[in-house]
Amino acid sequence: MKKTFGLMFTTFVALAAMPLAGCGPKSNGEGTAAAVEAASKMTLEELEAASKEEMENSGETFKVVGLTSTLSKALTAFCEKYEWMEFDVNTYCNNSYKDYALLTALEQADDTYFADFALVQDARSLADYLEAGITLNYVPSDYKEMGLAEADTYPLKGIHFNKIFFANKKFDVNLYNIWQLAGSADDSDHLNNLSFQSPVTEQINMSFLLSLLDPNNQERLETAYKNYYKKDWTASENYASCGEQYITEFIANVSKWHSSDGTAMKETQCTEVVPEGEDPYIYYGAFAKMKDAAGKNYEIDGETVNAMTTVDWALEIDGFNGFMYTMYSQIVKNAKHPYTACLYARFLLTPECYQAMCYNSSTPNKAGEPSNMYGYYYPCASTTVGYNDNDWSKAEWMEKSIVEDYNFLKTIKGAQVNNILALVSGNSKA
Amino acid sequence: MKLNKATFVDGYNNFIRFFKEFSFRKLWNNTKTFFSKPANIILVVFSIILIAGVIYPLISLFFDSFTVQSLSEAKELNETWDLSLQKGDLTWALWANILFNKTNMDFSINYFWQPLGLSIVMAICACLIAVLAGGILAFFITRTNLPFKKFISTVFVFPYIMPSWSIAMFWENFFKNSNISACNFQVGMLQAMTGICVPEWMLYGIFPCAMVLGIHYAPFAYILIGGILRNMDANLEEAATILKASRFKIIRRITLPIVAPALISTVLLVFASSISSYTVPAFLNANNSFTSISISMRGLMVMAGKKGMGYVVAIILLIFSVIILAINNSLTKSRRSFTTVSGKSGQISKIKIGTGKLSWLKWVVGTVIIILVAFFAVFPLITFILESLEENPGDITTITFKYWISPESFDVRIENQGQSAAGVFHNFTIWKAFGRSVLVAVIVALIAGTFGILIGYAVSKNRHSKLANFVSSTAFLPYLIPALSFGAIFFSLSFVDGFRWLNVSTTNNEWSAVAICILAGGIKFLPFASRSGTNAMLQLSGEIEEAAILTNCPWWKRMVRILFPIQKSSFISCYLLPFISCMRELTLFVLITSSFSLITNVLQYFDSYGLNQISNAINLLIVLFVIVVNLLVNKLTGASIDKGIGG
Amino acid sequence: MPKIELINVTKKWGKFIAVNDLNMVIDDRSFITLLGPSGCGKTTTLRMIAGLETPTSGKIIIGDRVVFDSDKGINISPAKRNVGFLFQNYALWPHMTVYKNIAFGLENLKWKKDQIQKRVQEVMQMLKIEQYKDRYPAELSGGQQQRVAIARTLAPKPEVLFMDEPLSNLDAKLRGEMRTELKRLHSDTNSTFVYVTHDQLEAMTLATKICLMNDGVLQQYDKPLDVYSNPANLFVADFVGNPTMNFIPATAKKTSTGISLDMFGIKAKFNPKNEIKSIGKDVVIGVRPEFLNISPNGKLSGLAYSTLPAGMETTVKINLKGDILSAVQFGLIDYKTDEEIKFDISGDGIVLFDKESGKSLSLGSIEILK
Repeated sequence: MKKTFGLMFTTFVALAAMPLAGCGPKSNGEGTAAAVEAASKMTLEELEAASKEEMENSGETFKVVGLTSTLSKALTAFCEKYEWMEFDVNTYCNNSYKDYALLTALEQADDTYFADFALVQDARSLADYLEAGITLNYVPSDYKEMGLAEADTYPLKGIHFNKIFFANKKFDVNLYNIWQLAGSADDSDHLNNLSFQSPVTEQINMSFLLSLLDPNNQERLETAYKNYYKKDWTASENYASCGEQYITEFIANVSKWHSSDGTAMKETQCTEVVPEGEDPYIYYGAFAKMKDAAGKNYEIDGETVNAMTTVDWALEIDGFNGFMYTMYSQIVKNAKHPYTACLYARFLLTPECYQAMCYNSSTPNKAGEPSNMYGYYYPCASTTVGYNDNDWSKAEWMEKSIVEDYNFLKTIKGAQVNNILALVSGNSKA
Repeated sequence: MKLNKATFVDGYNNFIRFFKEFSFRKLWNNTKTFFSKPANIILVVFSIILIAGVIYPLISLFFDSFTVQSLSEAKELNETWDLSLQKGDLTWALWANILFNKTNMDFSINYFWQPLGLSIVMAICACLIAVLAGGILAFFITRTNLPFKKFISTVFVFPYIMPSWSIAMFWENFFKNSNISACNFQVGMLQAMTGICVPEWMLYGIFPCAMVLGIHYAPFAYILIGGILRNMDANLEEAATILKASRFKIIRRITLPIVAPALISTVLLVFASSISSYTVPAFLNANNSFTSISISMRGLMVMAGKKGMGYVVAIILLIFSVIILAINNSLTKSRRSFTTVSGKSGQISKIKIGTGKLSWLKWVVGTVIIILVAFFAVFPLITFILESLEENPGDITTITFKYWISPESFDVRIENQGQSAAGVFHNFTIWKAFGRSVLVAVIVALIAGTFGILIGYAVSKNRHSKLANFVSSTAFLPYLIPALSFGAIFFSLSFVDGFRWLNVSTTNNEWSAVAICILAGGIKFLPFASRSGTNAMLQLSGEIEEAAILTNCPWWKRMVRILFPIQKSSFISCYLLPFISCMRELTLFVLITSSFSLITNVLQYFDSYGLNQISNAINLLIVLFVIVVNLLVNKLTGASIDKGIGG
Repeated sequence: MPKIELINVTKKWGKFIAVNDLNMVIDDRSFITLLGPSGCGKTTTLRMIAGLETPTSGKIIIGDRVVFDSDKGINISPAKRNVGFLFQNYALWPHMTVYKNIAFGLENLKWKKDQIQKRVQEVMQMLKIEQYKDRYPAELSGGQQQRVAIARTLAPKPEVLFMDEPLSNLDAKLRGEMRTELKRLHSDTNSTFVYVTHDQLEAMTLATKICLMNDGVLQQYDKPLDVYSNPANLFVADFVGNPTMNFIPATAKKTSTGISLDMFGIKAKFNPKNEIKSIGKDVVIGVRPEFLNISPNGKLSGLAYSTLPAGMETTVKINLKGDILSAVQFGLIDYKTDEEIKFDISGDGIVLFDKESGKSLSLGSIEILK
């Protein structure tokens, strides 16, 4: 007994005391940077050879982290393709992170090994990481042949997603201009019930709101403004820019803060009721959640109704339909397998990988033609990647949406974020 | 003092004498003597453990609130305050930015001042509710002839054993109705049964938060106040009766003043935990109408580029708590002098509720109390059962057992992650996590409980020593550190060389999560264990141990064969509370676990995939498990939560 | 068999001095009582010798072994001092039976099983508690618990037995019985007893030597009768004896034949046994009640204040010019309140104290000069 106590003490003391002393030498990650730079100049064959050599000399697992479950499917396909990779043997994928947990974890990569490859979602954080060298950007030497635009190589795009406005079909909403969601109840056709996830917990919604300050997007807002109010937008005492006005009024119009897009999608389904005299709800959420609805059926009056068919999303909205955003492929500083990480980043851009990741049997496909999961879009130009019945092509979404612009978001000032945060918590309608 | 020759001579002589008398042998002997007492060894060992496990994290958190955490933070501070900071620099600007934001004062108001003010209001209300409910019940139980006492006092502690968010969930399940958009117009139990639709402020916002926290902590108040009332020397009240004081006057002039320090102490402890409670406001804020300071803090901590400000809020909350602890400490010192634990004098004559023809009144009062207690203690369980059985939430016609018994998967995405999405009974993800949770809770309880007892032992043996004071107050500090920031400290520890094996995200091994949770939990749940350990030890006269010392009985044998058996139920209580707290903890562990490590992670995971029925089933499992363990331990060993709190 | 020696032992709790520079030698096989009012440091002294308390400074020797020396940093643990300790509240282990309580210590001392059994049997017999062997302490009366506690202490055959007010929790009758048994036990066990009490009667009846303490300072260390009849100072004189000694304030003057006194205007002469070198003006005369002799021919006269008959003897309180004196007479007498009483101060056991220092100057006899 005495020994046990003693042992317990010693272990605990040792454990507890170590952080005081445990500041090891900080690695500078120069090796990773050099490797990524070298990889960017390699041909595919050279890169494959480098990865093979690297993995064969390494006793450790190749580690991929991110927020989307498709990453592990991609890793499975990656392992099938390259015989020196074995799924779950010398590879590991953690894709069940919450976004803040992944971001917090990535910060640790500054002076320690954390992972080899990360699929990063938040553009503003990524700008930080790239500037600090916490993550490194790889550009495949043959990106042009792969159908990737040069603008999409820095940071290297991995996969596109979108958030859109949608509603329950049975209410037959008439959302034709984006300003119906701003303004006031006095406006004709104003939509008074807007459901949005707070940008405090959802970084992408912060990016969406900030992107409305982009001059290009402000132009779209001004045009829509003119079409809706039948007059030109002009600066006023309250609003110096059209984007500012839209953001302010949009946030003030939110009458429900949903806790996740999954919930939002669910809420449009058959059970939704709207009390008399209330406007139907317009939801803003990830289109990707459509696949949950696709798998769910309701029994209504003896008839089976697929939940997806209740979602009204293909709206013709003057201004924009939603927000296109990207998860970026990044090599993590201090990576143990930088070449393999580069090879994996390149692999993510191939149609075969995209098809393995995003063609899903549980969603209805076009007859005989494989197609994407809703809300997942291939970043390169392709003739072989197909789209679902119940989805638009990437090009169409790009045109109808506000598109995330890394270079614009990089310039956002902290004060601008604070302004939006203040507006969010100042909302009194919800 | 004037310097003259004599002073120098004196000084010189002293100097020489010191060297003449100084010997390493003596020093060695003194050290040996000091360490020959196990209590001294324990004090020294625990001061080291607590410095590393409590003081060091506190200091690092403090420095973090003055350190630029990221590049974007540096950018923001530089733009706003015209500085040239870099990541890692020390600065005061984080404090200025959150407290008095130069570019947008609304930001400071909305993310700091208003949440702080509202949280204080919420915490005060929660205290009032807890103390009123708990105190009145304690009075009824100890001072009247209320029927069903045993049942009431057993069931009344349930809300404290249950996770506070489960009461919040229950509140929502019960009061939601078709008039409120934030709950998506779902019909709750109240509306289903009576057709009554409560207004929105009763469902979401500051009112329900205060209510739920008040209900959660009412048993805590009941235990502390009841403890004093029970131990109070009945002679004190009897003396007043003889002096012809009226019943009411006795309560007002004798009972209340004696109970007052316990009341204030309860108020302070409930205040400290309510103000930093995160889960309850997070649940009952669906319409974003009430941002508590904890929600604001967590929001800042998890947002890109706002982390430093989050740390500032954490430190401010901590300062609040430390002040509260200091007030509490000075009060409990006087409390000891107030109460006399008396064995001899009999129990005071009980107040009779309704005499003569009104004797039925006590049954009425008893029944009303039972109904109230059952409402908050038993109803939540019923709603969890129902929610786990209904295909469409709130629709009782769609009852199905498939979420419990189906071996088939409900979600292919979960399967793609190598996890199970089958019905609860076939779901290995749930049961593995449940097993790990139990393991973590058991080991944390063993560590915290044993440490608490050892600290209690050492402190009770050295009541006047500074070291003992240091150890006992430091051991209580973790109670006041917000769980999220405590978790964050251990999270960053897991990236230090030598501790990497604790990081589940690098090792991909759930045992890493188990190990780090044990470390974090062992310290976080130490406070009440050490408090009740000290109480239990102080109740034992020192002679009981000395009698054994004289017979050459070694220290460990004294602990195991003498002290432990005598105070068995109190000591087991030291293990019970950490076990229960650990079993239901999420906030503390969320950063240092994967989504599948512990049962609370899995609960959140299934919730995020929209499998409400399964998450409700898990909730039911957790709540039932802690209640059953509590009752079993109580029955078998006589240990109880009461003693665990040190009431 | 050991002799116990305390040299310059001091114990401080912060600024409070519990025991101040105590020097004392406890002879082998003696029965010492540490006597004094509560808080005088007697228990602390006992606990320091036993090793349960660490002195701030000084040296303690048991037998020929130094068990504590603050200068050399020696501090031998209580278990190794081969002492027994009987606690005031017995400190019986409530979760063990009587047998287990007694045997537990022997097990720790690594005695053989059959030896333990034999010894436990023996002490239980000695203290007549065999029939309670399997009971738990809570099932015993106070007196029985006391016996168990003694048995437990005696079982390992300690060379020295320390007792801390062991009888204070018993009722008067039991206490009397236990006193007899303790004294008997002392001669039977042939060991040294150190006994703490605040009851002077207990100390007088039991001890071979009394160590009287006050405020942490040793007042007198003598045989009981010496302490009684030749108190070292006013404190000792007042503390020992019941009814207490009469103290009569007086002024004194040294003369060629002795000392002339003036008590409330009554002139008297004090004949000291030893020579008194110098004497202050103010003195106190200490007269034991038994030396106040009531007789019709008494030279002194006072008024009856009250009479307290106790059966065998009667205590008479006499008002002598405002000062209340006690006298003890054999048999039953009764005086009416304020009746005149004549009395004498007889015998040679009268003590003369210096008022300022409180110290005893000399024993002697008093002669009243009219």
